[in-house]
Amino acid sequence: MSLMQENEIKFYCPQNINELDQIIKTSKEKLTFVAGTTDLMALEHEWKKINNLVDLNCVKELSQKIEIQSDGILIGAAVPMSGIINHSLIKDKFTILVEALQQVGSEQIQNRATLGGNIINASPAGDSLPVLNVLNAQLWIGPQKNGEFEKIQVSEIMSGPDETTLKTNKYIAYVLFPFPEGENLFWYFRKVGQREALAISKLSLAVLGWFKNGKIENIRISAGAVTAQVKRAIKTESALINKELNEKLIDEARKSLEDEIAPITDIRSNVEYRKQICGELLRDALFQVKLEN
Amino acid sequence: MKIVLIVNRKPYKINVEPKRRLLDILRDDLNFIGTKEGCGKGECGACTVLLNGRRVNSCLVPAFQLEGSTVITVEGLRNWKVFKPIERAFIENGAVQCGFCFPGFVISTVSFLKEKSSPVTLDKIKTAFGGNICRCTGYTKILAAIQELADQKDIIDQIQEDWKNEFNARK
Amino acid sequence: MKPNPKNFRVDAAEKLHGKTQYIRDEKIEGLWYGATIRSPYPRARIKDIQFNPDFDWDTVTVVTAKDILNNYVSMLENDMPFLADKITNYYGEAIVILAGPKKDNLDEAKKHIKIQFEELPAILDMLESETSDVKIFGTNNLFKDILIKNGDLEVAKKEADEIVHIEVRTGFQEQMYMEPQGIVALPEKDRVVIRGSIQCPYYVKGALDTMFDGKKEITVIHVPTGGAFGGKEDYPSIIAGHAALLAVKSGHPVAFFFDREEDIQFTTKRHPSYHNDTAYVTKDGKILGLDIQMVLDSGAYCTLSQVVLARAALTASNCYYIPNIRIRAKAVATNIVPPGAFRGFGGPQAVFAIEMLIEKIANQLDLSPVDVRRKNLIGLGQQTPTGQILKYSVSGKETFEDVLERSDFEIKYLDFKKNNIPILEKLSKGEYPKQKRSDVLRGIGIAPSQHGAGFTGTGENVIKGKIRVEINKNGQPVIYSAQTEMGQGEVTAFQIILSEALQIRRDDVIVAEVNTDFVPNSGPTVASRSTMVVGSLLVDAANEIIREFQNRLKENGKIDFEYRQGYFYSGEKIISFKETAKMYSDLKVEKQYEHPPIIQFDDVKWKGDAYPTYSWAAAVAEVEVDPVTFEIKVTKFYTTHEIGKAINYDQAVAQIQGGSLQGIGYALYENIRAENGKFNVQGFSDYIIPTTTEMPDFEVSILENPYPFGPFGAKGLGELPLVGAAPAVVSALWMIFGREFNEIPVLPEDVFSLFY
Repeated sequence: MSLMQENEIKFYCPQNINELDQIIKTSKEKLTFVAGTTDLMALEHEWKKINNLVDLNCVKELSQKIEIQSDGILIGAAVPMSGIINHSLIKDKFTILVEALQQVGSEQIQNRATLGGNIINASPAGDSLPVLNVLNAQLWIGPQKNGEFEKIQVSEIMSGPDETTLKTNKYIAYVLFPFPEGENLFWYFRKVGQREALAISKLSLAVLGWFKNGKIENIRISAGAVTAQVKRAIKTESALINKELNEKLIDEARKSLEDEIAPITDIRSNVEYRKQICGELLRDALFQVKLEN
Repeated sequence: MKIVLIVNRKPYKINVEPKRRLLDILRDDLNFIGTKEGCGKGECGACTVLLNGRRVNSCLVPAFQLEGSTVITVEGLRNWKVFKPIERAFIENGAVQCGFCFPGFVISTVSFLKEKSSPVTLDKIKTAFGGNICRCTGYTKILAAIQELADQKDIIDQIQEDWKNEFNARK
Repeated sequence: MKPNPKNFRVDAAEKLHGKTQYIRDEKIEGLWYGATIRSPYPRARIKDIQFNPDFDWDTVTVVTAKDILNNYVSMLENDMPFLADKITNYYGEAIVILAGPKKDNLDEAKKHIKIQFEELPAILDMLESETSDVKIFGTNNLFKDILIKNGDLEVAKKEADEIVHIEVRTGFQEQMYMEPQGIVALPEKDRVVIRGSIQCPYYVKGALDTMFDGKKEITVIHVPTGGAFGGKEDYPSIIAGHAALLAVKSGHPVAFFFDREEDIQFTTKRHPSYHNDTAYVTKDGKILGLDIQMVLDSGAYCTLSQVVLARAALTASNCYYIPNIRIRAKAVATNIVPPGAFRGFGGPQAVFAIEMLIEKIANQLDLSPVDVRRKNLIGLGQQTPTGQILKYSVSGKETFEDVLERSDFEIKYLDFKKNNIPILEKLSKGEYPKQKRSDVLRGIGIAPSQHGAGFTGTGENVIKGKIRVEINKNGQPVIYSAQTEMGQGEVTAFQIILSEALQIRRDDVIVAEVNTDFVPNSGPTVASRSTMVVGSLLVDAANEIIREFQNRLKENGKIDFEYRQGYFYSGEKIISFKETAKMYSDLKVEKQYEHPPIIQFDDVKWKGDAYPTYSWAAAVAEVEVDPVTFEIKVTKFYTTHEIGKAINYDQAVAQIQGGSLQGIGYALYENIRAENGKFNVQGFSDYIIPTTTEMPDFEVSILENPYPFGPFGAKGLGELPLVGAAPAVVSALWMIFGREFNEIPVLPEDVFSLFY
């Protein structure tokens, strides 16, 4: 463990999870956890909120580990996105995740930015969030209690724009992506930005599901940048589950999704566009599925 | 904060403020002025360098994460054998105008060619260079030069060899 | 095509090595940094400036309006102060400047300066300016009001079958050079030396001579410049003034290095425009008359707006012959950051407007937009709106036909229409528009464009640009001119021109650093004039050098020498240029520009040769629109340029690609709005310029049609590629949707709103 002090900010660089948890245990002050620093460094004012900074990059398990487990893939929350993008098994099994991460900023950013950072920022426009939602990603929250991480669903962590339910001095250690249980999997991801590269999302949509006996057995839908917190479109999902996909149903689903979201007008787009196009993307997704099944 | 980092094969012991940007360390403290600042927010790519073998925006990397890191800037690349053909490709294709973005493009080129999985299409190049903005050229000539380089096996081999030399040299 | 080493840029290697030193790369001993306190209101009265005595003011130097001898930036109207005194006229106007050795301390100092304001009513809409009770400039807020008339509009009205009317708007555009503004002022005893990222060193010198009322000698040195596009034409005068004031007062060198946010928020942009145009046409699309009204939002101070307006007005009929025309153009004041120069300089606004009018004519009369254009293109011997008869180097028709043919326009136009029918049908019924994943709407659009080369009107005869060529002791000619390299390839082009005129190796021509102590004022590096105007002086100088050497050789040996391919010959005597030059290395040749006497312009009546000549272009854009998201993408871009003669073919192509992409950005991405006078963008993530993923495939062709008074026939190039790109792109949208598009940028949200 190394401790450095400068300008009233204390810097911690724990070498492993035990060191990290020890720092948290002994600390009486609020700690700020960082990894890729892409947001921190772009926002000068963020520094003013920090007194104790813990660099999760130092923790090898968190910044390097990608582990295949029986029920899914466990990824360190501080692994840079490019590490995930270039992982052959992830490319194969979780193409939708790779697709989403490849549209984050630029390769320079992907070499620094992390899933943990994207989650904890809880930006309505966070690029990975819709995909994490539809993949039912599980978050492992530290510090450990009795050698165990607390496990929560990604949907439980976001509580509002730029807000999470994560308590002070807790951190996201890992993200577990369970292998989807169905066969005949279909998925769709689309990010709409002001341009292709280096863009912040106007809106995005992730869809994942599978058929059984000609009916949608399960479907998960999550849209980005159109709600205060990125969440699953549960109503729309249930309108589709156990149904045969036809044009009428698709249209109902589209309208249902438009009702489930509450976009705003900002510099990147407007309410009308976001609302309508979000529905159009779902229609696009479902029509693609219909055409291909 | 005292840190040790290796820049272009040479170790430097420096005393810096932890939140100091790698960009400022390179330019102001160590005088590697080839790395440019176009935006300071990771949005333009002019400050791209190789950090531990991966290209990053040096404006977004704080000093407190640099202990023991290896940084390569355009100054370091000048000593690579492959730099000559890269230079030639950009000059012959007329790819340089104001030049302010260019060191960043050169770093990205090396990084891209190192990672390239053959064959390279123009679309792949476009995606890979989305993080390097140029306002002068319309990109066409820059990308043509990169395509030309990517299509030459001896260049790719040379990059792999230079890369190995660079990183072995440190050990 | 194999690259030609003669075209390789002389500055490329240094730049890609990262060795080129831009102003921020220079190590300057004892450098202090400058900072600016700006107005938080679009218009306000400054009641008081208070300095908190708790702060140690000895650690910084502060300058306010009362410290300035002549507090105005010497430009066209001298209405803009270096620092606002009693009234501030735009959000972000500088009021107090300060400098110190440490940036942190400067930030601290800024907090201890409190300015009391009384907010005043402001003009935020250009169309309300002229009639507003608020007076920013003169009695009616008009910086300039231009009326150009030719023929008789009443005749056109009488003979026309159809009247077509359109209102058109264009937005701000930011230059977004990669290197933000940067200037350093170094104080010396009776002198201030300015170094920086500067397009026009003599403009800066003029502004500072005036500011100091001649009490300081001013030297301005151009440092390698990371892009400018007009953005470093007029603006550097302001910050050079600020830096110089602080440097003189503090005794330290002072730098103003803008960060991106400060740069995009407070420096000049392209003028937004409003057009209200009416065409009187026959039923087969012949334009008999045009009534054009345009307004340029010119911001809080005049800057260069009068000249921008002049170019916009003079370009209003684009490449068309209009027998009866009336152009009324106004530059109006608003309480917004003053716009200034940007590549095209009024041309892009004017050309976009008339091209949209042409689209509307075709649409309303159910004619092909190609035919309407073809029918009206101007040719040799015809008159422009100022009565200028085009006598040479006219290629509006040739470029147009060339680009049509190369792009297979007519075939694609029909194919794309067919492709779009089922998609559009479904869209209009609210049905899912695609049958297969790859379905997209395809469009193809065309626009011709032209750009008057060199200064507008009598400008060149006023400035009388001067260059000097000296022979150094190695026998190499050295060019002294005020033309600056900012990425466009000026140094390489000058070497090519002089070396070819002298028939010597390119590497034997040296271009001197632009330092106002040593280079004569050859005029600013603007208006696509460097190659054509200053380049022609280089050819004149070369001819005089050869003549002079011949004379001196004759004096020496009493025999006549002929000059061929780099050698002086006389019978069996052969002596190379270089050997000769070494012998006569004291030679200095000066050349001064004036238009050939056949070029005449009356800028009171707006009659005559508005420009000595024009460069011509025509562009075809292929566009895809995603029928689900309405995202718009230019996939192919064909453009044919006629620029007299390309001095450096490869770099001419490079200029065309780069300028075209800026024009595509203008059409589809680059969006700034002033909200209560404050720009709503901060950098590259919200001011969207094209990246590699937005570039189309470019197919560029350059035609030759020499201009008799340009070097080897060359005309201007730099600005033209931007001028016609946006209308070509938007023309493709008219083609797809058959609906009116009259405002840029066109965003997916705008196309979306056609259907929902």
